[in-house]
Amino acid sequence: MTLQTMETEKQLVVFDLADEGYGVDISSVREIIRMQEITKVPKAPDFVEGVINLRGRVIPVMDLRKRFGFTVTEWTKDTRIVVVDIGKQDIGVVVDAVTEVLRLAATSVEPPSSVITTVDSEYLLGIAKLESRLIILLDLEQALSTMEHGSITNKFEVVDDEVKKVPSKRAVA
Amino acid sequence: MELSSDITSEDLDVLLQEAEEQLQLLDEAIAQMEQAGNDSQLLQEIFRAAHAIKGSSAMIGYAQMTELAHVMESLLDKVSKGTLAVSTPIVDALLHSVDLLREMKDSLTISPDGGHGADVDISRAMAELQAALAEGETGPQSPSKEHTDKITLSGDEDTRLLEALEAGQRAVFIDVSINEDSSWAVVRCFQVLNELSQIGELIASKPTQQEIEAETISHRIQIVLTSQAGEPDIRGALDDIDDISGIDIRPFESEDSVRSDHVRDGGASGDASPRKGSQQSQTLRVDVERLDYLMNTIGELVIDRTRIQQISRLLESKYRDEELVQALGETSAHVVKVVDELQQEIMKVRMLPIGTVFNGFPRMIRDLAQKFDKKVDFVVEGQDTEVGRTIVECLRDPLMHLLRNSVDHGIESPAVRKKAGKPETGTITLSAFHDQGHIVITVQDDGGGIDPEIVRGAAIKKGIISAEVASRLSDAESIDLIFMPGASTVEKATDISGRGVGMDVVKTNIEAINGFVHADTVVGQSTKFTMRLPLTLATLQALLVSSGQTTYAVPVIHVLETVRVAPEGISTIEGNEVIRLRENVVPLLRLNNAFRGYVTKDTQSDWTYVVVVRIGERLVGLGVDALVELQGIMIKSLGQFMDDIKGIAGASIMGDGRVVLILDVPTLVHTSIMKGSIDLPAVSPELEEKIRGAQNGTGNSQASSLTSGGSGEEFGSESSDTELVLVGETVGD
Repeated sequence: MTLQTMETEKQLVVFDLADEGYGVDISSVREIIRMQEITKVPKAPDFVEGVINLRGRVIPVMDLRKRFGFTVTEWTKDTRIVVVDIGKQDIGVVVDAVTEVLRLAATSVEPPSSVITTVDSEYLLGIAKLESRLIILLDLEQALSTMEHGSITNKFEVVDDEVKKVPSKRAVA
Repeated sequence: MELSSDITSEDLDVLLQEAEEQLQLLDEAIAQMEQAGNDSQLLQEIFRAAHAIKGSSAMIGYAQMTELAHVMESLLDKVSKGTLAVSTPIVDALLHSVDLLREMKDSLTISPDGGHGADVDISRAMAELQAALAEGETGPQSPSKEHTDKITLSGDEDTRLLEALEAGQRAVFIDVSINEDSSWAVVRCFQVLNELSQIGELIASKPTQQEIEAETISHRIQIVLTSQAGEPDIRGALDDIDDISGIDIRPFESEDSVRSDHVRDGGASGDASPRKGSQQSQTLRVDVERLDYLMNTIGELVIDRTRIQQISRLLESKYRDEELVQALGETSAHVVKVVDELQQEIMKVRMLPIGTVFNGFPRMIRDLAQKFDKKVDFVVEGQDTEVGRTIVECLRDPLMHLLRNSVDHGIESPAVRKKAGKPETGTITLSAFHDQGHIVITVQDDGGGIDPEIVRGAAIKKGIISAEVASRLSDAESIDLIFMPGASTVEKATDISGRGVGMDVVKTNIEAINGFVHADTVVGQSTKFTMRLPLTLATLQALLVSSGQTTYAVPVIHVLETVRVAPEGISTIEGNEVIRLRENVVPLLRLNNAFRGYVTKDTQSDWTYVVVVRIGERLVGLGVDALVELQGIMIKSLGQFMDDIKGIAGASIMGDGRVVLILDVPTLVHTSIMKGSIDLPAVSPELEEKIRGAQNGTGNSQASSLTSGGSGEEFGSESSDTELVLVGETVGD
């Protein structure tokens, strides 16, 4: 991919969450796996489902519904874990279903402020307007690494200047 | 100062690493030299190290370093020849020089335009060395000025000479002089050796090939050569070399040489034998990161091999008669064997003798003893005991701390010792040995011991514990107080025996690598610190237990024993559950409760399995639903996300791919029941009374036994009597 196309075109992995379409940049997605046994970790933040074994590595898995405060539903045969690379670590994210890989022009993405969504705009990179629907572009790194969720914050403060601006509040385990 | 401009940072890395090894060796060996006297093997070791430093510093053009190492070498040479006796001034001068060498080594940096090193003032150390040298019969030696017509032959060289003579060769003694004003003397010497090696075998030379490579400047070179060639041939060979002012060739006679007593003297006596060179290159330096990567990869292979084994067994039971399935079974059995071997080997590769960390200590003890005016014999045992590299690195600081305390506070002054009827010289023993898959390291001194009464008093004074709590502590528990944070100020405030300096740090460091430390002391006689540590940080012997729906791994190092307790065997004292274990009352910490908020099945009506762990001097029972098995596991981090969850140390992947959590037992216990104070209900005599009373009402508690085989075996059947069987091993005691 040349610099030119990187600027003008985006490639997204699109998934469903609570009846809305979300997209994350394909370059941050490591892989998409089916649900598997998740080992619960006591005293972890509540949106952390636990840890899984990803080919010999232990990675944490979190439920995006819980993270965004949506109603929690049963897992179905479509439920997937999207393994994303956020900064230095891989994290698994539970989503309702992965629907497609989408290529779209960068110009079709608008800044998040213009549309009201159910997700805090801080975690959004923008809204992609397609012919028939909207796709919300998520900043997963931001969504998973900031804010009032305890342990995760402290570690990232040093890594990313952006994150530093957010005051960290330790969660009560 | 500016150094040679053509060294690369890789060169420097290798050089620094080697120099550090040599310096450590010097530190240790020179400190030993004082006691050992003219031990020729030890002296050779020191000589070689000094020589190696001289060589490598010359290579990068660090003149001060070369100069200092060179004078050290001359001094050591005299000592090993017996013309100079080992004395304290000599040892002091040598140690002082080692410090300067290290200072210079540490100052080395590299930039695009070449290397840099600090301008270190070596004049004082030089003066000390020269003074020590002057005590000998002759003045300071320097190969550039000293011209005797003798050449030293080592035993090895002597043998080669004899062999050559027997083979019909003739031995010649060649003496080549090079113009005094030539600035290429080193190159010329090298050319001479090079030319001569074409026409015969070089037996020895002065200066030696190594010395020349190390750029020892000499305007004269003497060579013993065995060859068929006659004098004209030899002259012809040397003809093309510039700057030669004179060549003297004569048949070699035995009086031309001095037979060296120190055999295998790598540097001084000119051992240029290629045979020896090849022996030395049997080892290879490998970046530790590569080993770690290899180790992790093999770790994944281990998990896969278990999976393959399971699948193959399933297939076998399903399609017994299929030939292919049988072949798969055989292959998988072999894979299992090979992978296991691979894992064991890579583990071994990552092991280092613990001596690598012990090496610096004789020197340190000597300095400290001098500083505090004490007399100390330092005994080191088991320095060959092997342990994982990461563990070795983590041990340096805690051990340094303990040893320093032993000299400073443990060993009494000679006067006090005499008064107490002890020998004036105290003994500190540092020892290491393997025990049941762990390494045990002890630091013992025959000093004044620690008085529990004083520790208690000081702890109360500092507000670490209340007087009321203190009164209930046993002596052993009181001694354990020295490991409490804050105890470090005890000593300064009251100026008592003061074994508290930074002990909490020692404890924290040791616990951080899944080990533990505890102290035994006899007032007036001795103090012994015992550390028990895993052999490597990558794997862990763990007892798998299940609680709720979750399996946890309990590091065996903390486990004393496991028992099974009936519901009526559990009493409640002041709201806390406790069990009786022989004469002890042990607080019970149910894992379900420890990780509260967890949905678990009701275990009240069932037997409770209790894993008795020892934290410091305390026993605590971890209540679980079932004991699963004893197993060696690989330790994986939970990642940045969850690495500060209290009570969880990490995770591991089982053969079936499941993830289990590894308990951080000390933290779990501290955060769950100790709550920062060490006031547990278990120890007070009155509580003991209370619980006895309570139990008399309900009948005796039944602590039942569990048997277990070695690692990896399933737990056997439980009998209902009260005998207890150890799962791991007894700790300490």
